[in-house]
Amino acid sequence: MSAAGAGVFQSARNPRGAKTKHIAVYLALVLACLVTAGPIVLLFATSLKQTYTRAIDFNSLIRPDFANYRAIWTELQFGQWLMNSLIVAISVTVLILFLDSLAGYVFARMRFRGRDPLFAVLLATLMVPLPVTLLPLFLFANELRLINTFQALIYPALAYPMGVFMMRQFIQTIPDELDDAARIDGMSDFGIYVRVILPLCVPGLAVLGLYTFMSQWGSLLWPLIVSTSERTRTIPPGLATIPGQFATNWGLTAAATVSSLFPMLLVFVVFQRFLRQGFGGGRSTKG
Amino acid sequence: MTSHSAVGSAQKDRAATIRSWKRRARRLTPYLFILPKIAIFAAFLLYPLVQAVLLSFKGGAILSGMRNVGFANYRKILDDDLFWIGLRNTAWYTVLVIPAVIGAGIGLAALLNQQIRFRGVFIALLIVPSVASTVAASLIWNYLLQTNGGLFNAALGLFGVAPVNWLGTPKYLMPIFVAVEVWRGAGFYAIIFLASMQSIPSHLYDAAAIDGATASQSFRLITLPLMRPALLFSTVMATIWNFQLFDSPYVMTKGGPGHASLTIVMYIYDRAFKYDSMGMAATMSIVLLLIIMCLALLQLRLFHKEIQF
Amino acid sequence: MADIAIHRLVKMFGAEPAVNDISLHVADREFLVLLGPSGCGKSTLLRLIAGLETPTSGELFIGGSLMNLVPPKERDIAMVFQNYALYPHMTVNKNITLGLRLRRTPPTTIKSRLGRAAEWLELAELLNRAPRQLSGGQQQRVALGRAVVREPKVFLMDEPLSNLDARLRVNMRAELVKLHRRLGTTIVYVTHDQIEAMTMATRVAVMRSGIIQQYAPPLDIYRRPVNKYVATFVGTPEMNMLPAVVRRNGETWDVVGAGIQLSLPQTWQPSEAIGTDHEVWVGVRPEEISILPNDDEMPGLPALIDVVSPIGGTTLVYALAGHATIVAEVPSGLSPAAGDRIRLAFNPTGVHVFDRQSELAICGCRA
Repeated sequence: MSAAGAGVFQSARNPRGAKTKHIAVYLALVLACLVTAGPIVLLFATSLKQTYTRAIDFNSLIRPDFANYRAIWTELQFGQWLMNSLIVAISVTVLILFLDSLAGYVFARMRFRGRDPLFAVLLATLMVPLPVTLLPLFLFANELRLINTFQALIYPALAYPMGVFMMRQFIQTIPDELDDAARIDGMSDFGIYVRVILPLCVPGLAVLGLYTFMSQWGSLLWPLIVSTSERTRTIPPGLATIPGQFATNWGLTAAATVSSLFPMLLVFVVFQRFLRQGFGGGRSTKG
Repeated sequence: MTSHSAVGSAQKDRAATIRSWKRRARRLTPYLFILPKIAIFAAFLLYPLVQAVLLSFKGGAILSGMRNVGFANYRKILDDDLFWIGLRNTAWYTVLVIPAVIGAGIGLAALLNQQIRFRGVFIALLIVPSVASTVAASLIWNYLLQTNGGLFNAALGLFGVAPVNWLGTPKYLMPIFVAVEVWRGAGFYAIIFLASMQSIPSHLYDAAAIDGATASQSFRLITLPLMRPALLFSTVMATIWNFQLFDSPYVMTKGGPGHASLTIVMYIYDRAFKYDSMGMAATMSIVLLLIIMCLALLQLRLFHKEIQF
Repeated sequence: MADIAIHRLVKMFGAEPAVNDISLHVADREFLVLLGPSGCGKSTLLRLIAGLETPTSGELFIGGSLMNLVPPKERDIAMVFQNYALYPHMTVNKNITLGLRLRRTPPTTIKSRLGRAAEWLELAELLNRAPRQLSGGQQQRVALGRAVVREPKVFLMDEPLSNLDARLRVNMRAELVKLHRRLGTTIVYVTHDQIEAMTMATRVAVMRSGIIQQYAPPLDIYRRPVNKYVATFVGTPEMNMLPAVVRRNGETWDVVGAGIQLSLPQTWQPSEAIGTDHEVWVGVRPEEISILPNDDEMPGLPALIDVVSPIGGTTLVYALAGHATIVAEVPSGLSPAAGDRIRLAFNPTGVHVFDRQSELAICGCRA
């Protein structure tokens, strides 16, 4: 068991120069945070002004002009993009959580013929690059007249096996004895899944849900291929059209970008709570 | 009396049959539970995979019809300049980005692993770019890299250096994409590595301190080796993901200027949807698959030793 | 010289003092055991000596040099941890020799020291195994090996035997004493097990809440405990404690209570003014109690036998006297039975008297 922060440079283990090292660590972290968060702040500031003056100008944060935010709904089709992205991301996330946790449970707990080879196949497909499957899927969708539909956007994403792998990993850390106790109490396999495994999986589900939502929210290639009209266009392909049409309208670009970040941040904050419950893979369940 | 026992045994038979059904059902449960996922997996991943291989042997276009051409496509690729340009660009990018993003992740995690306050705040701030999609990140960097008025050129201006046309200078392009990806991804990897570091018992560091290790020796001899599973997995996944670079060049430069930022996946996309040669595109995607497989297996073989999966 | 001088050492964790103004001198070649329950500060004190913690105030000297700000690797110490802290990704060989390699010890020296340690600790066949392939006892010997090859001035051990099964523990105790004799190094050993303390130490420091209660050789701790806490902590079964008073009886003093009346030795004088009937605890170890038949002419405390537990060479008798349960340890030849009425007689030279307020010993009556 290690205490958080049982760090490499633990000052007590080498008292000489400990203070300077400590300050250096803080400085480095502050610098890193400036690099990561700084551009976002700058972006936000840019989104709040119409005329473009100097490179670093935070005045607009004090006197914001929200015109750009109105423009993304009128000049671009942001509303449509937003709705479509939400539909796709939420559907995929919910379904993946269910499918992958169930499958992960099976691979973690049950023995059946072909289990290990099947798992190896799932694992192996992680190496398959997107274009390989996307091209035939496009042809397939074309034939079935499913181009530009939500089904085309959602179903292929459900096939990705990463979640099964993650959930299996996580469920393996839950002690077997809990299953045994539940079985003695008379629960069926599905009952064990719902009442014992799922509740204990919350941190793992949170991580998977967050990860899935994030990758769906930012997915560009497939929606680009399969959404040919605004009706089903999601945010990333939409944003990608901006440099072409509105290359120098940085205010508009910034507003659109910030708006695309916003829902994702919200989801993140919500899921944070569930992540707290024990980071490090199920260590919250005391054996 | 005989009728009595006859009724009794009939009931017993029924009970036994029900029990054996239940037993058989229990054995079916695993298959039942994974059926939905496996079915979807087979339909939308395995089947297309097979189709892609078949497609790679076809020539022609979608509208005019596809016909089998054997290995012709594969031979054509070898002569296709753009394919090699795309491959070179992608390889160069990958070679730069993997050490950069994994190294940044390790560095940040090491910093976060110290006894500091406000760790949560730091993590939150470092994660913000990861929350942005690759497209959003690309737009942000577009903005920062503007020739006139972008942040970087403004900073250079402070030192009296003339503004640079970042996105117009071919040799800067791949490094720029590396910067975008490091900016966007380091925080994400940092969290994974931090979790791995925190699972190392602190007693090992005590023992090392007494054995005489300096901080950097402890890091090299204890922290890194014990992080190997997480490191290996992240490196392999990062390689697979980054070799498929598409989003940033598509948004920022559309492959230009000229073909300086053309990547493999971009070229496949162009071939399939702009030049309408699906067969060739499929062939290239299979070649890409083979390349990635080799890279991944190579890394696994090199760093295998002890991985607990 | 590897003596350890601790002068008014304090270590605070937040507002709590884990080590509270401790002063101690450990002579060269001493086997010091820090004995106490969990949370008493013994491990913290050990870590302060090791350099894994820095003192809040006070001074620590090893071999005459001030060590407060000196990092562990420069203190010439070696440590054996409770859970061994073996590097899981290194072989036994690498585990043992890491310290030497980091110090650029010449390979020939490493080889010879490793060879010797492997022979003493019977590790020769295990050198190429990984820690997780070893049993608890084997891992512990590897941890010892790691410490031994360093040939340090001081060995520090943090409850190294607590994770072993009972039989192994008994064997290892003897091995550690032999090791101490062979190496002649100063050892500071932390444990909560008083049997370990009694069997291995040259001197014991009993600790409680960050303060040393008594620092003396084991037999002194056993026979002349300085307060009630030490008296009850050391010795199994625990020393019996009975409430009583000290009363003047002419020139001498009597201890009266719980149906007994004992005269304190004539040499004993109260150190300060004691009024009539000063409240005290009377402490008697089970082996200082004998059982007499229940006869009105017999002296002793009347009692009723509750439980009889033969433990081989002796028998433990749990008897009820009034509300109190008294444990006596008697030779196994006698055959008391539950339900018997008996009288308990205390050996007057084995009686300890503790002030009830301060819990300090007023009289450890062994001459």
